[in-house]
Amino acid sequence: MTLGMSTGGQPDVEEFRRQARAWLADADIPVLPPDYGDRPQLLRAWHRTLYQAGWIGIQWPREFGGLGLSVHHQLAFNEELVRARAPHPAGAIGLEIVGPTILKYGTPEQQARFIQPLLSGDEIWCQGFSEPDAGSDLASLRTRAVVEGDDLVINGHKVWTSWASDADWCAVLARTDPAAARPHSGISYILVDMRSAGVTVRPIVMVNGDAEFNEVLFDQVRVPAANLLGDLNGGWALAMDTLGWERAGYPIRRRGDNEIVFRDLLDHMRQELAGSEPDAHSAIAVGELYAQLKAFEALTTRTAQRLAAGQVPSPLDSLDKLWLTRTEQALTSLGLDLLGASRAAPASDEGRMRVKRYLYGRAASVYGGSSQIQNTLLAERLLGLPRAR
Amino acid sequence: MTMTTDIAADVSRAADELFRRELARPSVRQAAHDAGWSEELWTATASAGWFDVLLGEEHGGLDLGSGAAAALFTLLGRYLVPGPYLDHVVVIPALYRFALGHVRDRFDLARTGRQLIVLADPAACGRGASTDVPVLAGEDLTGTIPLVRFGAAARGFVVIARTGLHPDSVVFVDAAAQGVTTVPRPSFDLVSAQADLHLDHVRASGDAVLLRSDEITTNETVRRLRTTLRLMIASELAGLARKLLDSSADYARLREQFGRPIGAFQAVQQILGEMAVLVHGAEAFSSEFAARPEADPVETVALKGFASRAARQVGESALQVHGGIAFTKELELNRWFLRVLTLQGLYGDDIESFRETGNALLTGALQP
Repeated sequence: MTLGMSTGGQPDVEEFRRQARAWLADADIPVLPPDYGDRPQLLRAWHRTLYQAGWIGIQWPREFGGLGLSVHHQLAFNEELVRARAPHPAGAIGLEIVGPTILKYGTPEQQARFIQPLLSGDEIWCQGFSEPDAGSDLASLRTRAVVEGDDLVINGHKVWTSWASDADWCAVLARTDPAAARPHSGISYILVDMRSAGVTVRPIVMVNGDAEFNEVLFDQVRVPAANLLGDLNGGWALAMDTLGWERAGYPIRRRGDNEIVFRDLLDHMRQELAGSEPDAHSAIAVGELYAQLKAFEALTTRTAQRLAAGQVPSPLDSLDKLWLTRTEQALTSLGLDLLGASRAAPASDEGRMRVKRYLYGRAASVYGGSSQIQNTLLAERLLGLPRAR
Repeated sequence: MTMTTDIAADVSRAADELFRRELARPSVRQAAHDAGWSEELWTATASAGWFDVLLGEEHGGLDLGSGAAAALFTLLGRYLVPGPYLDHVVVIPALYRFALGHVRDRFDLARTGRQLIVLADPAACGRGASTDVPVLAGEDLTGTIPLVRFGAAARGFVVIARTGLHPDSVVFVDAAAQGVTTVPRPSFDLVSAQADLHLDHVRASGDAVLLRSDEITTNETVRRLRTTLRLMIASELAGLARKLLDSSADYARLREQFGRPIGAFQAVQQILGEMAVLVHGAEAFSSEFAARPEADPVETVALKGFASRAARQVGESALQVHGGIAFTKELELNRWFLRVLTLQGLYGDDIESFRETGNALLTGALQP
């Protein structure tokens, strides 16, 4: 890929967008199979294709193999992916969440070891944060890690770990000082090879039949102490940084996914109408949904400016997350409702995908901090209300 | 883009300063909020050059773009400023180049705030539109337009009329002309002095006809005008909603029950969080569209619907947060809520707007 550089050393965003669009128009874009289990191989191959063509790590520093461009370039590329109905690369968690944390807190050795394969897609990451008894209240996590010589030995139980069954590495939060005065101050951030002895992954089959989430069990898992990211017992700050990126970046990415779903749904409705007049109820529902998607789009433009200015984390991240939930649930509900009486047993693959999306959409108000938690955060941090405890 | 944003921010700061200063004076505040009209405030905004914000430079205007105008309307909402601002900031500049002879003289008076000229557009009423839409037949203009804002105080009207089955004509009507009657409507919303305008064989000829229905520019001009009006109403609704949110948060910090501020209860926090979600959505949506060189008409209908519903919901939540006092005249904030109801109904409420948007999407007239 060659970029037309402007005098400031950064190519114009719109020029960059045109190049992405042209490349995607000729690319062999994978079509995702309805079954989740059939997807990882395709998405890994797609990640490698994007990497080889120079589209991965757009806003990453050049010295680490990125393009050194702005968040606006990255977003323009994401929008072009949506336009071309192309999926995200397999390594999204690494690229957007774990990677930036390693860039910020990793030693030069850690960066040299992990960054390149993370960008190329040779190593796919997952994130071992949530536990059966530590969901919204993450600081109460119980997975333990004990220093033994040059190793850390991990025992515990993670849950809701997306992609774990297909991941090569996991960013694990573990308690390294159970006696710490505050639960937050006894936690460490550890990079764990998923092939280590003692790691067991158990897929969790979701209500929609897919198994995106997993339980991950750690039984006497030995990890070299060199894989500790940041300071021992200093992992909470890193985790919050990671979550900050997740909260700010995820809604932007997911918004694009939902826009594809909206367009597909609209195409389907148009075909069913076959030129006849839409009924009032459907028209109102579609119009309202469109207005909500547009409002969310406008909000994420502001989010991009916030990301570009390094204003992350922000209380406004909670607002974006709530907007994502709102739009995703409204969109997937409409898709379900239009199936009428066959909503639990649709006749077509397309119909089954709609039911799957609807059921997946119900999780939007839970994962990444439930809507109730987000509202509380907004009340306290954005509106300055007293803490509720 | 950056320049537009900067200008909008500058205009916003200047307007904020003006309103703070003017509304700090009890006489102005009382007149504006109780009587729904403050001559001093109106004159102050006219002198500040507001009515030139959208007027082209070739006419001596400032031509600052819709971003700057939207910033003004957001503040009109936040401070609950009464007056025919849509008419003077948007309508007159948009039609200025079509106003000739005596109509141009009248527009010039309006431009400096010395005379009120308001728009009488049947489309403003949405579903409540009268079936007796004004028709221009030859030189005869007859019909009724309900709910004309500041209709009783206006000295002139810009009437959108029809000619038979043809689309719109734009006609200037002097309030004192033969056959013109206005009937004021008592309103719960004190800052929107609406009146029904009856036109009974009013003579309309020569320069009074700004645009004829057979002129190619007419449809496009009227369409653009309505799009800008929807955009500005959405911006004002965002400003009203912001005030309703901020005042509710203030109240939740102060009002105590069970020995602590009600804002410390999670149940109340959930309501305020939801309000913040809606207010930020309306602000981002309207300012994003206002910053564009030209907003799409159907997308702007969607924006109007969105802002209407958001502001209405935020208003209802504000009442809930304030508890019993919210249902009395003692709570000043009610004026902001009642203003929301007026604006919600202008140029199509949320249901009508969503239906229009949905129809455009489902028939392929609008591509997502």
